[in-house]
This record gives sequence, C-alpha cells and structure tokens, in this order.
Amino acid sequence: MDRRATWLLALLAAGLLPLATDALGQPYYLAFATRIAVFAIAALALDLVLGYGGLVSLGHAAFLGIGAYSVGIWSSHGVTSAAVHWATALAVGACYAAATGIVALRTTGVAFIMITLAFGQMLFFLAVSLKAYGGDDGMTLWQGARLGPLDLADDRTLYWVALAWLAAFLALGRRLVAARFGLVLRGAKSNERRMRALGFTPTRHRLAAYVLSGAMASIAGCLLAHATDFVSPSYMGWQRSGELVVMVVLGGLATLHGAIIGAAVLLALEEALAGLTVHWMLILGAVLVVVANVSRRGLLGLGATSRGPR
Amino acid sequence: MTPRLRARGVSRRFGALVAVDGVELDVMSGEVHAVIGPNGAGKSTLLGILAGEVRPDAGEIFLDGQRVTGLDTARRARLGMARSFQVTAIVQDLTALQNAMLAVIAAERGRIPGLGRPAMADPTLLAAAREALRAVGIEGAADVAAGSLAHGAQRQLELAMALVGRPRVLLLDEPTAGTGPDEGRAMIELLRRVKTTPGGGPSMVLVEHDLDAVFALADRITVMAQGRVIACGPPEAVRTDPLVRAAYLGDAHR
Ligand SMILES: Nc1ncnc2c1ncn2[C@@H]1O[C@H](COP(=O)(O)OP(=O)(O)O)[C@@H](O)[C@H]1O
Ligand SMILES: [Mg+2]
Repeated sequence: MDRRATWLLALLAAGLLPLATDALGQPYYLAFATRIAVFAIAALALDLVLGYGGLVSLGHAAFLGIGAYSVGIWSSHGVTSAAVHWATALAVGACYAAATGIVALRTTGVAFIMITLAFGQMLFFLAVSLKAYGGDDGMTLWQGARLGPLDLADDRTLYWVALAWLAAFLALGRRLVAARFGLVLRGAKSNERRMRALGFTPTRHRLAAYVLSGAMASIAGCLLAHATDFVSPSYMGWQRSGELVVMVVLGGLATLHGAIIGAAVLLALEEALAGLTVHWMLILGAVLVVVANVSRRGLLGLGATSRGPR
Repeated sequence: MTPRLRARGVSRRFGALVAVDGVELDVMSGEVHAVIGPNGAGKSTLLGILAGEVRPDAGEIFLDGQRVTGLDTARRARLGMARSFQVTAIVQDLTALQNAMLAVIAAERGRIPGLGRPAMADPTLLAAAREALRAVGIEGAADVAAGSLAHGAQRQLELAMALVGRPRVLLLDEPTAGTGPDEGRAMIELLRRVKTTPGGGPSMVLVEHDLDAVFALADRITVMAQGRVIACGPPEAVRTDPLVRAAYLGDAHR
C-alpha cells in the first residue's frame, strides 16, 4: 500500500470512529481513542529527542505533569479557558525544558538518562508537596474546560481537539525533521566529532529539539487532564516516562508516526491484558522482548522487513 | 609574513607520558606541511591540539596571527580550519550526499537551521552537495549510505566534507592509511589537485606514514619523535638529515 493511501485510510478511520462507537453504543472506546491520541502526542514529542537526537530522556512524564497541573491549578481557581491552560502549559513546559535541558545536555548516554530521571522525580515530589492542590492524592476537576464555544467536557469534542493537536504536531514534527535542522540532529546523533569538526555546536540543536519536545508533551498533559477531569502526581511518575520510551521504541525510532503506533499498541495491550490476568505486566514484557529481538526498528520494522531491506 | 597557522611551544601530557613536548610549527599560506614520525610520536595529538579537540597543557595556537588557543573545535572550524581524522569520521547512517549536505549547511553559517523547506528538496543545497562529491570523484555514490562505501571512498567523502566552504587550513591525519595502493594513489592525486586549486589551495598539515605521498606533496616536512620536533625543512634537507635517518627513515628510504 503506498504511503498516501495509508495516511488517507488512517484519517478516514479516525474520522469515522465517533460514528462507530455511537452506533455500537460503546462510548468508552471513544474515550480510549482520545487517550491514545494524548499519549501519541507525548510519544511523538519524545521521538524528536530520542529517535532523532539519540537522547534517552527518562523524565518526559514531567511534561505531562506540567500540562495536567496547568489545567488543574487554573481550574481550581475557576479559570476554565483551555486557551489559558494550553498557553500556560506551553510556556512552563518550554521553560522547564530549557532550564533542565541546559544542565542535562552537558552529558550524554547513561548520565543523561539519570539526570532527566532526577529532574522528573524532583517535579514529582514538588507536585506531591502542593497540598493546596491535592498533594499526594491529586485533585478532581469539577469544572470542564472550554475553548470558545467548544465544551471539552464532551467526549466527542475532546476527541476532535486531541486529534487536531496530534495532527498539528505530526505535521510540525515532520517538517522539522525534514528540514536542515533534522539533518543536523541526526548527524550529531551518529557522529558528534565530525559535526563539531564541521563547525556545528550540536548542543544547541539538541536543546532546541528538547524545548520543542517538552512544549508538545505539555499539551498532551493538558489533554490528559481534560480527559480524566483529574490531576495527580502519578501522571509524572518515572514509570510513566518509561512507558513513553517503550511506546517510541515499540513503534519504531525516528519515524514520528511509529510513536503513534507504539502508543496505540501499548495502551491496547495494557487494556486487553489487564482484563485477562493480573500478571499482564509479565506478558507485556514478553511481547516487548519479542518485538525488540525480531526487529531493531520496532513494529514498523516488522512491516518493512517483509518488503525486503531498505 | 605571518604564518597562516602557528604553534608556539605546545605540550600535552597524558599521565606520565609527554605526548607532545614543546612543539613549534609554522605553516605558510598555501603550504603543504607534512608531519612525519614513528608511531606514538605525537602527530595525531598535535593535530588535535591544532584543531582544538585536544587541550594543550602549555603553548599557543595562532591562525593568521589571531590567537585561537582558547577556542573549541567548532569555533575554529567556523574560522576556516577543516580536518580529517586518522579513523575516518563521517556520518555512517546518512548517505554520502547527506553527509556533503551537512558540510554545506555548516558552511552556510546559519543560525539554528529552521523550518525552511525540506533539505532533500532544496535545489541550492543539493547542487552544492553534489558539487562537493564531484570534486573528489564520488558523485556516483551519492545515495549510498556512507558506512557502506568502500574505505577509500569514505576517506574521499571525509575530504569532500572538509573542502566545502574553502577552508584556510586543512588538517589531514594519514589520509592514505588503510587504503589499497590504487586508492592511496588516487588520494595523493586528489590532494595534489587541492594544493593547486586555482586562486590558491588551503594550507595543509599532512600527517602521513606513506613517504611517497609525503615527498610527492610536501613543501616542507617536520619530523617528530617522542613528542619533539627533531627536524624541519624542505624535503631534500630532511631526507638527508642524519638525525632523521636514525630516528625514522632507517634504511627504507636511502
Ligand atoms: N587520549 C589519550 N590518553 C592517553 N594517552 C594518549 C592519548 N592520546 C594519545 N596518547 C598517547 O600519546 C602518544 C602519542 O600518540 P599519537 O599522538 O596518537 O601519536 P601518533 O599519531 O604520532 O602515532 C602515544 O604514546 C599514545 O599512546
Ligand atoms: Mg596518529
């Protein structure tokens, strides 16, 4: 199937989904699809730094937290404008990414993983300490967010909004990695020495990618809060960061759309397996090991190998 | 005349080992200056110090009279210092063309390259990159992953990337090392063409083991042993220098 047809089909499926869940009387699946879109945004954002930049961030859930608390804190003060929530999340997420990125990007490899993890945990405990905003227990959002005439408390509206953000970020991400910027990022991932000898300062490009990625993932955090009407520190636990890494690797690194597939597959697996057995983590682990061993390029690689090597 | 590139008393130790010991080096504009010496003499370390990748413990580096000792590799590259490495440094998983594109992008001196049009659809960028490949004769391999190129072609690609943007100084670490005899000859021929570029070629510091290459290209030769310069002069003088013969040439080049 050629690429354009695949994209059209995906778009069509996404467009028809609300009708299907209505017809089947299964609104739960619409909410589930929204959840996939939300995590797809976060995974896509992570793929920018992980896949293209080669930077294993184990602290990306922090951005989900920043987004969620942007919604939560504003809402608890009666501000229900999604535009305000989003603008706050973008600004705070970008600033947090810039501040932590400058420090973390002094290192690479395992040290980078540890530093991003540490920053993520710092933010986690900051959220726990916010007693006014629910502390450990988190807080329920009693008022749904609105965007002009749109009521984001409505499942179907939120689905479209999440999908629109995903489409916008996918388009932006693709544009970015195809531009000179993406080429420089990939060059630096593969041979930093050569890039420096050419006159590049790869840290700058990595920081730009990291800040952009953080801002994108923060929007996912907003949408997560809109979808659950709840925020809590658990949104930014390190396990969540690990899940995002798994989504990207599972779908296929440095592809962007692989991150979307990885998010969908991981969430679906969790959903299906958790219903079957309490040992679902075990089965999930086995699936991941198999995929990682069969294809270095994730699930997308499985499809590609059947069509012969690149 | 101010030398294009000048090293003044540079030293570098690794633990107890003095890898480079008070080296003086002048490279004039357009000169090909070979640096020879046995393995472990400190040639690669010296090149690293010149390029800004290795920090000297003592000494200064000047480019056209301007002190660059404190500048990092990227800054020196932007001032016109290009290099190749003893172990070829190219971006293995990008194509040869994309490697050349990176060199062109670097030479554009752009800010953080932005959201412009896709790089692979930018005719100016593509044309400049193809031209760079053509200059070293590997335009036919444009779409091959750089890591899959033959060793000689990888070295040529590295040279192509270094030549983009017409550097003032070219630092070459054993450009013929590990290549077959034909590839080696092709590289020497290529370097000769670079040297005679119309309008003046770059100054070159050529670290090389293959003495045929050295005597074919060099205007002057500096001989190193155990971190020190033991001789410097035109090829004929160096060839007959008894110290050099004892330390390095042995009986091989009588
Ligand atoms: N990073 C390093 N750490 C420790 N020793 C080094 C390092 N780089 C080079 N050396 C040592 O310095 C000496 C000079 O090395 P090098 O400059 O590579 O010599 P050459 O290029 O002339 O063969 C060698 O003894 C080498 O082992
Ligand atoms: Mg060497």
